Amino acid sequence: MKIKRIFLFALPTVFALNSCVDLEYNEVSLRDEEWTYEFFNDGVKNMIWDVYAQMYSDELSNNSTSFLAGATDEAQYALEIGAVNNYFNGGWSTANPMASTWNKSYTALAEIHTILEKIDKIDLTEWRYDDNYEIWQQQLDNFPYELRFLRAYFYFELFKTYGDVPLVTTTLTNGQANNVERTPADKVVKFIVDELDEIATYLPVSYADEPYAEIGRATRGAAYALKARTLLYAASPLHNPTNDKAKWAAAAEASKYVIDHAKAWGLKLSRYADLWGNDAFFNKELIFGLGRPSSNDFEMANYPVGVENGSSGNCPTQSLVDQYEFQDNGQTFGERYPGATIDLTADPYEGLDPRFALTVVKNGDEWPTNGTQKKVIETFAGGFNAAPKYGATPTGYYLRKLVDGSCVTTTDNQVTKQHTWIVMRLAEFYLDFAEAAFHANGDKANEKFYSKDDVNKENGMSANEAINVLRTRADINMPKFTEDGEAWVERYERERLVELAFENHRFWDVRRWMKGDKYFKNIAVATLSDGGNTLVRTIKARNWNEKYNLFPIPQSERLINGKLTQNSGWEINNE
Amino acid sequence: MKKLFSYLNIATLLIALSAMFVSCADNDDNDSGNLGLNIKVFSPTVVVPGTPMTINGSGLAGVTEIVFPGEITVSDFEVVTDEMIRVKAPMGLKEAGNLLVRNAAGETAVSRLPLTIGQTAILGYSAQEGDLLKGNETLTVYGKDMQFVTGAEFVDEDGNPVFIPASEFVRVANGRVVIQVPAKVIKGNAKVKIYIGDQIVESPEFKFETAVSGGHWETTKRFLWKNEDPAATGAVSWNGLYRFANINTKTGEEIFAFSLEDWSLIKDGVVYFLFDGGDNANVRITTGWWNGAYMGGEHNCIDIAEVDEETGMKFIELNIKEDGNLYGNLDAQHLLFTGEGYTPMGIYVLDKVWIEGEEGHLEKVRTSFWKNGEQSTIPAPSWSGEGRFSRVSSATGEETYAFPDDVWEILKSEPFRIAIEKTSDNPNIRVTTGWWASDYGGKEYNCAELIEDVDGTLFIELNLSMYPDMLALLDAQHLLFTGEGYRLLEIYQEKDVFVGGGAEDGPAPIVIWENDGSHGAVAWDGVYRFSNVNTSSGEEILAVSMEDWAVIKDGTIYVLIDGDASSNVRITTGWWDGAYGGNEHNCIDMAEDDPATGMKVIKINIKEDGNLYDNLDAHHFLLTGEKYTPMKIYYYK
Repeated sequence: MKIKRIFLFALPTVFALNSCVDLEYNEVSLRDEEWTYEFFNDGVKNMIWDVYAQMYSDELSNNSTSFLAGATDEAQYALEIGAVNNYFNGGWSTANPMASTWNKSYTALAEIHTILEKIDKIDLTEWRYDDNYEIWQQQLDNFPYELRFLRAYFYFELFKTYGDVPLVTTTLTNGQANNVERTPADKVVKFIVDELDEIATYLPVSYADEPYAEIGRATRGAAYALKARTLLYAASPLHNPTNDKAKWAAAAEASKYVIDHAKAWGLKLSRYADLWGNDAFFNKELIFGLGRPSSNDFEMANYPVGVENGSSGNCPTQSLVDQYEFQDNGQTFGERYPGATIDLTADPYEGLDPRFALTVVKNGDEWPTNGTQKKVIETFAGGFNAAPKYGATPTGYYLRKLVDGSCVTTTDNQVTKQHTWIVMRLAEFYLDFAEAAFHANGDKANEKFYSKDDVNKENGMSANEAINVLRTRADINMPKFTEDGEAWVERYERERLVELAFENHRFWDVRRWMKGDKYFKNIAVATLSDGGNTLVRTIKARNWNEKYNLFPIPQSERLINGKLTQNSGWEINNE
Repeated sequence: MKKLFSYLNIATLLIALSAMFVSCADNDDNDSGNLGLNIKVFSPTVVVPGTPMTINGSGLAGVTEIVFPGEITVSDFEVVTDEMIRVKAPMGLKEAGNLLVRNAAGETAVSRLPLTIGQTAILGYSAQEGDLLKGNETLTVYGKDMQFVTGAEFVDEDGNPVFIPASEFVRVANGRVVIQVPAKVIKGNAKVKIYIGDQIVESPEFKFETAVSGGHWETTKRFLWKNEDPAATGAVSWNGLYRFANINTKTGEEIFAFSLEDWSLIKDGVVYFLFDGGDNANVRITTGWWNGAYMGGEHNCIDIAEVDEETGMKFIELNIKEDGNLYGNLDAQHLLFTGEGYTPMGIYVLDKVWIEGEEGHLEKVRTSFWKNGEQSTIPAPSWSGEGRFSRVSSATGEETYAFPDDVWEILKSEPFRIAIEKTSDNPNIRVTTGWWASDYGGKEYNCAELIEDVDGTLFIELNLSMYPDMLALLDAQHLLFTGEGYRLLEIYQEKDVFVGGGAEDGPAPIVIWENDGSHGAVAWDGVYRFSNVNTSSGEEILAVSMEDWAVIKDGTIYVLIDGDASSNVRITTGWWDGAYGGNEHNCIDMAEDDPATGMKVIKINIKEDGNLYDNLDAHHFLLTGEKYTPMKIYYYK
């Protein structure tokens, strides 16, 4: 039986509230620098935990701008005032840059550099007779590698969001901070990859056998997975306008390394339904996840209106539903039921990809699963969970994926569960490999890609073989991919949307493919009438501008440092 | 083994910062941003030649030389930014000391900290001399500066060295490295070579064995509550006697208060309610306030009771959470078993206990049936009848060698090989009967097309069972290898056989079929259809040998599947007439966990079951259903 101990990160910070990570004692701060370096758990270790804490961006909170599905064709936020709508309703600007990525990343980087530059000052010798001394020393030896992984992670987030960003590798003076310039994205990518290559060997494969068994920290698999993801983004059209095949090959190589080593690292593809829920943190498919304390906030945010304390939240669109394929022949829902009106009396959803029912709550489904609140959901006009109720779904569907139906959100007798935000999981790297290998091989999906080390060409894999590993999972069992060429690209983009739905991939994938015009401008939603017997498709138009492929550099930063150029299209008049 | 996991809960950071670019350096540059040439820190501070390093500071973009202790100057390095350089510790580095960087203007900066030369020293191993190490187990090597270990070398089962680079180690840390022993390590005594750059350190001699895994699971009952004196407590009588609470919600009305841990098993898991009663019992499972009933309404749960084979009593499998009717009120109102005509005897859970044991492993086993120059000698054929073979019971004296009957049956029913030596560039290899009446591969087929070359050994794999016409004549007419341009060297068989210890039935498993990955999950189709070599129709995925078919029909076989509780496992014939376990039975309920693979295994005895037996030969054996993938069929001798 597993016994889990829960530790909270980031207890009262040891850092003074200042514009700098200043460890000097004063009447505001509680402890000074010397103290911090001499006390392992409350001092040194808390500094590391502070950095990890920056990774989470409230993705699972209510009305979060970091849960990005509502800004894509995956979902429509139930309320028009939802903050995520700013991404397409004109509310996004340099003054309202939306993402906190710039702030959080450079804050984290400052902490990382402070620790790395002063790590030699950490002195635990006073504790050498303590029973924990050896363990603390072992953990201390590992911290620099974890910090460098985290540094690579935050630079990936910056590169993904802004493209060219200042590549800061040390603590800065005021003067330096106000004079940094943006480094070309290719150089940032090289830095990330070089860092991960250097440190990966020294990170544990698993923390299960490390002292204290603190799983959730940076592992070797996480380092190589981050490298693979970085190279995929770097090879994508947004950053690879000449379609340099060498970049795709590098990405394919890196993803294949993850796939080939997954078993040795204890990773294994999971049942789709097990990717979320109370124990998802221990799922063997998870390469890196952010554990959250017991809560039902996400359920309150996304349970249908009509379920006590449910707020509808992120509602799957008809555009998303139309992308699911049928098990019998691979035809999509949208292909089998085109047109503006669908007769629902004969259950047109029967036989759809099993991932549909696990992702989407539709009219007539019983939801949530807990005995206290379970009921038949009604999303037809006038139904119990539908308009004209305030905040009801604008799409005809509710979100099921990531929502733990066993949470009870009644005002009394609530039930809360732990949640896990998936940062990286194994299935992504089969998809990443497929995409990269396809392009590296000159747009061929059935040609095998071989790693550079595979000199005897014994262990190649084609793009379709990689995708079919996911398609033939016992709980998925979808028709295999056989396409090639342009037909493959369309089906691959669909498969990636379906597999990684609501995991914050779609927002970035469409941007790196530069296909916002195709996917994000016209979003289909469903309106149900006639007691739920008729579905009418309507199109909601959203703003899309090519400048949206990259975020604006926050104006507040540019006012301090005039050397920070702005991303194309985001310039304010006369810039 | 219990594992203690710490669940890392990342709370929101409390730091608030007014400016995003945090300036924290100690130097005061008067806001100019120009700090001049400076080394703040470098990493790692303990190196050996070749160790990748980073140097952080300022003004580094202009650096032209890095001077290491001992006056070793390096000009080959990468300027990452003005604040960072990457460089490798140079060859010949032997002394400790500070680093110095120099730029084109001749300015220099010296590091605050000294660089130290790593001195890797192995202090011990997790195993002692003579200890047994099995493939896939780990060996920990303890020491100092162990991060400089570059690899380890084992010996494999063929006696060849197997080098594992440090990047493939399970763990590389300053104080230890953890290395996984290769699965196919040598069976015997050997030392491990630990590579530290150019140096090699040998470990003590360990005893190695090839990877083994498994044993078997046993299911045991663990009672959360047991009726210690049923005579005293008596049967239910529509009363509140058998009421259960947890230690936090007890009121004195309960017969027993569970610990919170056990209570959460009852609420959220699967538990079993054991009772002594007949088919006429009325088993009402409700709350202490009679508020809701398991399975709804006023349901009498006797209809879902099963017989407990161990005690002869009855039990009901309960999943209160899934049922939903009691769940929300259970804490406050307790759990009540009431009704009439039965006596509650216990509430238990099923624990799986792992019993260690060797399961064996696959080995290539070569069986030689005839060798040229041993049992008999024949020259290279010249369209002659010298390469003629018979079975002992039909020998006529014309054959060069008569095989024992059991070997002859193997040659007729299973694939075997002939090793050959070419005496010309274009041999013509005819495999036929002694009367030249029927040819392998078809009329006058040249079997030289089937020659394979493995490490310089030429062989042809034959499967006489694929040619029924020829097969029917072999006993009487014998088997003849003739033609020209080659010499027959050996007739033999090479099979993958499981060797090693036993599983629950004792003897070593033999694999009949194993999924090569070319077929996915079942989908109510006929993909995973099996026949025998005599009844093959082309519809099967494999036509098994008669020996294996006999085991499938009359013995006990094991089917390994990649599936789970949601799988629908239908075991039937190729004509779908009859189902193992009876009428459309989903055999997932017979599946047990296979810890070696993490999959599930189903034990089958078709003869005992009776539903498929009579039709199996003609209609074949089919695994179908949905949401699982058949992976292997095997049995134990």
